Amino acid sequence: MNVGELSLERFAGRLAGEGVAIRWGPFVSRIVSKLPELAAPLHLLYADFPIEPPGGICDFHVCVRPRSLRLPWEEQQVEFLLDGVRVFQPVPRQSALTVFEWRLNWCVYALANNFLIYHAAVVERDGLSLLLPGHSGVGKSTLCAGLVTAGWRLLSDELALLNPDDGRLRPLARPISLKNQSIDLIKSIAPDGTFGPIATDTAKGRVAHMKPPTSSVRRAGQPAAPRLIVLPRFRRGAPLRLAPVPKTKAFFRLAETAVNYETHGEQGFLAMIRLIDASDCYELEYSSLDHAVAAMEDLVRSMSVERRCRTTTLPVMTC
Amino acid sequence: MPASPVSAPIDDSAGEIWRLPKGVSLLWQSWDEDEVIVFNRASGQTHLLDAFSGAVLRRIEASPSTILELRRYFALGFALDEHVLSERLDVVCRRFDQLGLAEPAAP
Repeated sequence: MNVGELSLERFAGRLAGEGVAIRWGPFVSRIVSKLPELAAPLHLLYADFPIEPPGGICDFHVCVRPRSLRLPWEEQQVEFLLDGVRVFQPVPRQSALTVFEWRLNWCVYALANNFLIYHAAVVERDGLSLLLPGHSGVGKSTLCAGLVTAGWRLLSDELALLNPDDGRLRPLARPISLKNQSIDLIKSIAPDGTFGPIATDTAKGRVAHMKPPTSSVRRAGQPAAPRLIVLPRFRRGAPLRLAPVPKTKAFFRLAETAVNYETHGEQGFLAMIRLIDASDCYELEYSSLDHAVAAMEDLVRSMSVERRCRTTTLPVMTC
Repeated sequence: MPASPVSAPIDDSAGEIWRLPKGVSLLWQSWDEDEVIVFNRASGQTHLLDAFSGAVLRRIEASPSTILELRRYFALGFALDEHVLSERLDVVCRRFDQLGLAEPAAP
């Protein structure tokens, strides 16, 4: 059963009671909250996500609740509990959804060390998966949302999970986090998209979430082989520039975005080498989202053509 | 690896033998001629070396050597004055020592 198959009332009731175990990619989170301002957007944004049967094993037990102790003149706050422990400072109640999403990211960063984790968006087109690494503010989520709106498959807008054993990327399609001007920009190019409420006054300014495409959520169990790494950078007024990057430079730029590279030791090094070896590497500077999306489409198209040509020019085998 | 402005005296006769520290084992990766990536299995650290430093470390890994021996080995490959080459080798080896990639040992 998916979240959207429950009415909002039933979903909110279960969320407030025993909790709802939602599967997202390789993880299951059991979420408990009595906050109606969390239940409604979760029901909207996670509509396509499967609900696991009660009693199963969950990776993260999450509770979002109003802060119990509060002085009368203080604003209403909520606190986030992981496995029953308050791990973070309380935040303003109006930011509940945004902070919930950030805290789920933190759960992965901190605890999913079976993967090599990069701060990167991942999308796929025609079987070619594209890694967009970069720290917050470089424009990767905006570009990711633009590509997804243009029909690319979403694997993740924030965290790339590389399985160091097989070198494949595990999908983690969750709502895409948009900030500030990106919210209006993506809403303008995705008039049929579904968006959560806008949280104003967060640590990163205005934040809203875009519902991931149903098809991407349904394919959450299908890993993808990395083929293309593009290091994006948004710079206001800059002309579009897409240029190849030497692999050594790409290695270290990617390593800068890795959360747990050193934790993996030799296995992590070898996985990184395989990842870079298998990928064409580029830098992209852009100010126009349309141009950036078109450049990515052209790039993937040319690589697809090249791949087909390579396949058809294989030498004939003789016995 | 950026060269540091170290001006250690050059003393070939000291005869220190440069070698990998005990337990250190290296993994190498190079995609071009200018730079090389080295992973130190013992420390878990990854290093970026320029071509010259990479060549020196590879030589030390293959065959522990004094600065004099290294100078003789590299004299043909790098068109450098003997003194300049010795100085560069000395700087590079001492930097390796700081990074835990090589160490001097008594002959």
